[in-house]
Amino acid sequence: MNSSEVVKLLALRLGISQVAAKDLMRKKLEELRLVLSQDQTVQLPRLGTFRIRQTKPRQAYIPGKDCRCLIPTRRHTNFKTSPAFKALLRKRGQ
Amino acid sequence: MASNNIYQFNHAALPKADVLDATMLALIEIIRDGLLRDQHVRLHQFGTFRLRWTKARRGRNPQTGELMRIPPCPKVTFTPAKMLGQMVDPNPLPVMPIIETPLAETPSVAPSVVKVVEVPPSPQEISVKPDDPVEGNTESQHQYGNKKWVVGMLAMVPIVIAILQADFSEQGNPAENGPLVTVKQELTVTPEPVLRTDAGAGDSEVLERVPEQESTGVAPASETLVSPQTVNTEPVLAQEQETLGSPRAVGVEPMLAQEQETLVSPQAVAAEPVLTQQQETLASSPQALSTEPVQTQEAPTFHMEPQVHRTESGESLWKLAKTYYQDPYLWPLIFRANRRSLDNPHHLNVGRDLIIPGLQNAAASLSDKDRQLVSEGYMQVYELFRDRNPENALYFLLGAKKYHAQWLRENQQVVLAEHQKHLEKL
Repeated sequence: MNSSEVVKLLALRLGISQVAAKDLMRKKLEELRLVLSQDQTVQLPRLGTFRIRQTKPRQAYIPGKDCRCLIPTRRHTNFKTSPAFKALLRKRGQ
Repeated sequence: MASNNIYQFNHAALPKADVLDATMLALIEIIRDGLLRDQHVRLHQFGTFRLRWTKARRGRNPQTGELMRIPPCPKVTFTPAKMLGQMVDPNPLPVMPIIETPLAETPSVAPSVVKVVEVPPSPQEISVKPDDPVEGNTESQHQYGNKKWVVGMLAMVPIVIAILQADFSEQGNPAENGPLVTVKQELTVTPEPVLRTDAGAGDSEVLERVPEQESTGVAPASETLVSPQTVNTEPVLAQEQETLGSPRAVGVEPMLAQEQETLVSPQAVAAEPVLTQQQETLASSPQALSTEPVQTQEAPTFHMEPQVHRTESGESLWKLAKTYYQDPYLWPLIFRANRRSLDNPHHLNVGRDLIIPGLQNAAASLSDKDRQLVSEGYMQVYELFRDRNPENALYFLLGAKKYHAQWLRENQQVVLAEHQKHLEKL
């Protein structure tokens, strides 16, 4: 399911045009990105939680250059599914 | 906006549904429905939600410790888009390669000077691999890495200066020189060069053999050397003249170390009158070495021990034969010794250890055994290329014929019919 299909479904649910639905979706996702960039946690009900995690620096190996390297601290976006949704998925899969 | 309320909660409880924006709720429902249908949900410039199922596996109940079967479990993964990653981490630090320095300290003095003054290595080091660190030279090798030829050149300078400044007015007493061969007063001179193409063995008893222009290094003056060790210096010095500047003349170093001892030790002082003659011949071309009148004496005892050489980039059997034997045409000897590991004599892998077989005599006066081995090597190469490229294979057949025609006459079963005519002249 790509963005265009999500826009179609959104327009159907909200009863608006696809153009308006696309614009709305773009604005909402932009807000989410802004919040995440400010190092805040975003909790979406019945879906999951977005958190920002910081990885520790670690050593790795570069095969092309045949040498070891140091990967510094990096920030990543992490998503954790809500337990209720996970249970629903498990139930559907069985 | 009502949707802003959810962002005010950090690590808080689930916000109420009516607070949320209708758009946001609809979006959440669409994502849930897509994941429940086992579909990926991709949101442009935000990320992708994917549903994965972990495999069933065996595990232990942490409370009771008993084994149990863990069924397949759904897992929702979120892959952030590039834009989201750039907003979350706008200035990521670059990956830094770790440069390992093997030495904590670097020598303050130029290592070439230190080597010449402090460390006279023993003659046994001639059998050491060229890449092995010579005792006392570890620091320089670590610092200079693979630039051994630079160190070798610098180490030669004080030796040459010592030779030039030495007083060669008196010859040393042979009896005082220890294990030195006495110099014969009556010498025979042969103005004509001896052709290598003559069938038969190299006669070690012939004192007037003059090396051809092809073989470089063995100068006539070398036969006047009194020490078995110093005999080897002559081909080394001539070799160094040719290979100066060559970064792959790895055979220079161990020979050079041996030469240091022979020239610095008191025994070498007695050989100084001979060394002046060598110095003069060094200044001239290799061809001039062979054309000078020869003061021959007893045949120099030449024993090259088998060695192991680790190949480097750009090396070939031709170059290795030139380095170790001073005659590149003896490369089939090396191929024959490493036949099991070499499929093609023209292709050498870097980092491979090759056996460099020894010679009983110098390249200019090969013994019968050495000639036979070289001829065998050429025949092995001939067999390798006989079917693929008969035209080129003929050259190897002629090479085998040149070195030991008698042996080839006895072992010509593998020769092609079209090449038999070349053997009729044996």
